[in-house]
Amino acid sequence: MIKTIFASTFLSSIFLIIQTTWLKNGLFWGVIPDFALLVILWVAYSNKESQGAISGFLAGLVCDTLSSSPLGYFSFLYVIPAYAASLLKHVVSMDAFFIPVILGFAGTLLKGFASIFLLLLLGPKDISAYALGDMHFWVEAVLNGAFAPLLFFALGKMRALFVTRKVTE
Amino acid sequence: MPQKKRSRGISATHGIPIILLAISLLLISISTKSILRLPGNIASALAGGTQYLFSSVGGFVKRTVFSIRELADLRSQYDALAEKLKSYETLERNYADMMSENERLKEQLGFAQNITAIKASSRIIAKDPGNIFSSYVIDKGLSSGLEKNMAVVAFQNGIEGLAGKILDSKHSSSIVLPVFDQRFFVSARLSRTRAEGLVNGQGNPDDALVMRYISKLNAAEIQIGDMVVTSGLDSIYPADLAIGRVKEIQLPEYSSSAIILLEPSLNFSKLEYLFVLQKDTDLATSAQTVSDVKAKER
Repeated sequence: MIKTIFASTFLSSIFLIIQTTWLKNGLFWGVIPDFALLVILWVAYSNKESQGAISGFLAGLVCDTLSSSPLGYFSFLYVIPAYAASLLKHVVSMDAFFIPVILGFAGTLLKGFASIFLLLLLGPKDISAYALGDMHFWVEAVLNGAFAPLLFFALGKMRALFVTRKVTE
Repeated sequence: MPQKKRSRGISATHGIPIILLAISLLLISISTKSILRLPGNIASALAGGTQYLFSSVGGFVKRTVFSIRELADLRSQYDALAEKLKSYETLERNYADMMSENERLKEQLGFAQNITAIKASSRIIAKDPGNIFSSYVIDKGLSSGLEKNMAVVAFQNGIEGLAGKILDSKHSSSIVLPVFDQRFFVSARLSRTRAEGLVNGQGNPDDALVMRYISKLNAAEIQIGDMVVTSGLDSIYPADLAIGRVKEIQLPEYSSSAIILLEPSLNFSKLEYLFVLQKDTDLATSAQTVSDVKAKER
């Protein structure tokens, strides 16, 4: 379990650094896809226990140090979709395309709703949130959905590193 | 026995994320020092959420009903805008002449140019990892003498424009909060009319900056294209740094003050280098003294 958490947190952190540097100007309309979120979602879906939520929490802390957000902000934002993905595995089984797309899109929406929840809870002085009416939010959701099948396929090839126990076990 | 194992697994699946969420909330509360405000915030969030819902529904109905009438109004608005455009074009033509005239007048009056001391020049090496917050990471930090709340400027097309302020400084890098961030506020004034207000961003470099707290009386003198600069009345930013130009003037019926939308002076998508200014609280003091003297003269 520790190996899975460490590996997925490490990979998410690498993606976060790539997002801040190589992708700093965005991929489409200045929007940066959240590859770290996709890794967390896949790990949460593929593992039986709470590895996804824990690595989401840790990757969120890394993200907070790279961002101007308050500490704990992205941890909160990543734990919620990870938790939802871990519940989803009891309902649907993974395929090559549709489930990854839905997972990437819906995970971004959950992240967005979580950010709005924090904004309502703590006020706008220190907290920013996605605006549901802003096109950038929906572009990010679509980008995450679009990249999910490819990334999930690649992660599937490294299953030994990121999965402690299979869901079907 | 296997059933027992299963139930323990499910409780951990639910329990750990909930604990992690609680820790995250606690961390945010501590880092934003908002833990004492939390109960009040929960109550106001519930009330505010309900109000927002009702307001959205009401707004939607109102917009739908009045959309036809709005169409009819569009024609008259179009004519008014065309008229404004004409005056804007005239302003544009006269702008260069006015600038040089302004320079000459300044020299004649013996006013010293506002020389802003640059503490460090830096390069943008990274940006915020997500799309929610907007910040830049520059390659200079504590080791170069940079501190939190230092003003950051950039030069573009011959204009020294306000880019933001340092939010956090580490050993060899710093996080810069740009002007267009929602959490950014700066005391500003209109260069021509000298009316003062507060400018803040809307979170997106493509969106206009918003200037508030300008009375409707003062707003009547404002023209599209007017330059907005820092007032120097806070302890962070020196006076007369370009912020943006007036793009739109809104006069909401519910308020006694106008909302001015500004086109930022800097094109943030093209920024590569930023310059951090020396922290100088004396600037604010001297600016305050000047305004005090002016007040006395009046």
